[in-house]
Amino acid sequence: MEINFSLFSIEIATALLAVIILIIGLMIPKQSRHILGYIIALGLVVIFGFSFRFYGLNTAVIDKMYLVDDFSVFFKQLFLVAAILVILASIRYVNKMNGNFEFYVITIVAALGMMVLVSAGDMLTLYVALETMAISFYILAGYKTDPKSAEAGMKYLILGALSSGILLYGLSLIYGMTGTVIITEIAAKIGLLSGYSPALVVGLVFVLAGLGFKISLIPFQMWTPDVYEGAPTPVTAFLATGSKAASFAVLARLLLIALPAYSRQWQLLVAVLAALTMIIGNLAAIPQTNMKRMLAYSSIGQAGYMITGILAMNQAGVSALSFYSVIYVLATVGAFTVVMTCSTQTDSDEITDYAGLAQRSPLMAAALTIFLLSMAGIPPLAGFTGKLYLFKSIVNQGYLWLVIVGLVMSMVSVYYYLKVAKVMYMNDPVDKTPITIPAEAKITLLLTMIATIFFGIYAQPLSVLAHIAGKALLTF
Amino acid sequence: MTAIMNIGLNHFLVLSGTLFFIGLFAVLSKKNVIAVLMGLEVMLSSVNINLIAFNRYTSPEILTGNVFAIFVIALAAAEVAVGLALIVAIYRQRKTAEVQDYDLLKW
Amino acid sequence: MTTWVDWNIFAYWSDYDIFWPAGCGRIFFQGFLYLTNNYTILVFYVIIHKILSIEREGIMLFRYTGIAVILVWGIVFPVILLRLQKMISPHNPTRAKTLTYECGLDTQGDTWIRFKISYFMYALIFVVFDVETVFLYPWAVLFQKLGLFGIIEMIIFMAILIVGFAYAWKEGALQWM
Repeated sequence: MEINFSLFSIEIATALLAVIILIIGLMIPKQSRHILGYIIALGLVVIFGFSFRFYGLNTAVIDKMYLVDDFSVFFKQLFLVAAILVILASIRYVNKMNGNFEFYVITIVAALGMMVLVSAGDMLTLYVALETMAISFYILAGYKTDPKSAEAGMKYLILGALSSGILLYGLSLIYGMTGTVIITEIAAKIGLLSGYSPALVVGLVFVLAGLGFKISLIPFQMWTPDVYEGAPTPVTAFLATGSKAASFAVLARLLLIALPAYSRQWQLLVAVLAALTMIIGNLAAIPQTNMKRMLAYSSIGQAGYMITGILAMNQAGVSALSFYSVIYVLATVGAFTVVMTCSTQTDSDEITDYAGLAQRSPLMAAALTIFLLSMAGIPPLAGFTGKLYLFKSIVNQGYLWLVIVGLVMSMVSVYYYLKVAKVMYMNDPVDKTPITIPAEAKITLLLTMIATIFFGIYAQPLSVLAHIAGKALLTF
Repeated sequence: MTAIMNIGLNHFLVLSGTLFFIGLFAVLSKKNVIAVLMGLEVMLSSVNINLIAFNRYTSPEILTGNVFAIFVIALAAAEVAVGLALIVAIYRQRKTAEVQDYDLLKW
Repeated sequence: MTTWVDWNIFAYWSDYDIFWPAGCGRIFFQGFLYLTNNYTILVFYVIIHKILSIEREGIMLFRYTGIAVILVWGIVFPVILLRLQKMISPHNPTRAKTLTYECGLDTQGDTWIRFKISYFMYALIFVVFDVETVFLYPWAVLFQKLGLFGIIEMIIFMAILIVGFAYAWKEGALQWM
């Protein structure tokens, strides 16, 4: 069997980085281990730069078990960027919580799981990658030595394992009905069946439930606020961005490539769930007093917008999903960086403790306002462009009602985002000491802020890439 | 009557379906976390039965389902190891292994 | 009696469903109507009929698509078992009964005492490494066929495991506490 291993080089390099860092970390003394955070960030930057060479390859490896197409490369780059930003932002935080280098190692193993997940061409690879990602996050969520963190880890583990069991049952039904696990072959095998099989519909619903958990679609969202609040903030940042984007990518591949024949069944289901997710996520965010919980509910609402890209079932929709994923990742990582930096100083995530942040740290207040407004979709910022693409892709498909729901809920979200801005700018701080931002976190903050503004004004470069990615998913 | 006596795919599917929901009920209703983890294992075992039965009755010449089952077993073990470690971490802090006592985080 | 319902709708289940022999549906529903005179069941009956007649073609081709039936059975059966257990077992807890069983002696203090945590770490590491050997069996069976490629592959796999093991060792997981 001829295997071109150079096609795996992004994943191999990331895995090697994790193993090497683990070995180095064991050999050097404990006090100098914090330096490994910088080394990992540097290594990931090198891999990121290298990964641009993978655009345009569009090949399948090992009997279509592994797909190296533009869609997967696009998302791999997104995970690398998210991992780099999160690791940079978290170096101080991890030092403070007595964290060791294992934190970084598990983080890049999680990133590795995501990268394999978006490239998975068969259901076995998909499941293994999903578990690699999920198990890493179970450990990371319970990483801190306080009761809340351990509880968050436990809750995430129980519900996550439950969801992966359900997903697996669905995958086994699809495998049983079609006799194949290769995603690109499933559609052809379904075409051979005459009539439609209820077992496949059950399998489809189970898969949707299993992956819906990961993207916190509404009936499966109950873990999100708890885990986001309890987990260490860098973990929350990575969980909210990487894990969600990866699950969206793989859900798009499964629904659009493997099960388009059943679109009549899943489209209605997904449309209703999307509407519910937008409504409940945004409404539940209003009464929250904890910043992390508020962001958790807002991220549930964002999932509702993002899934409309899959609903469109065309290239514009997938491109819009890819585009919005990037915007969402940038804004969310940025917002959690602010939360992280504040909490190392104030030891609190309550919104009331953000009072007068504009006086204590003007940069962070401005950045947080920009990120929140971008998530709400206020015009000059990138979130607006992303939402425009998403809604444009479904409005002609007979989902005008969903677009209207989305627009109304965006208005609602402006309210609770601005409430935070008001607290930061209007209220007087209790403690007037300025908050110093560590240099590494400042890099993350500035990068995400500039990107959020830049892609709002000039979306061309990113939308071209997203267009390529969307085309690759559907034509490959 | 012969349909009942000959063991076929349906028998395995019924077994795995029943096991799956027994596991699901255990996860949703048990009070002790360790029992919940056992329920999860039962669910994954039911999937393994499903996979192997489908493999045997639909495409016995390619062993995809069996290989899938091996991976499921290995990953289930990893999951349970992390779960047990987390249980011990919580138990050291709180002296409880009952699910309803894990209530620091609430809506 | 209204006979616009096709009484034979369960006939094609019987071929593949062991829990629903031929004619069972008809007997069941006729019996039910006779006993209770309750015609609301007919509504459900017709709904089931409609659903099944849509999917009849699929079922004829792939007979085990009765899986939907299996799922319903899977949901109902454990509930029945749990209810049944509650119904027929006498519920009469006394203090002695609810105590933790410990070799016949009365338990003293909390049963969740800290019990040689060193065993626990061993067990945990054992579980992980023990199960990883599951990959060695298929590899060993095909060892000759795979050749050099297989050996290198397995060396990489073992190397990653050994790094993990070295980590556990270095961090003191194997220390007898």
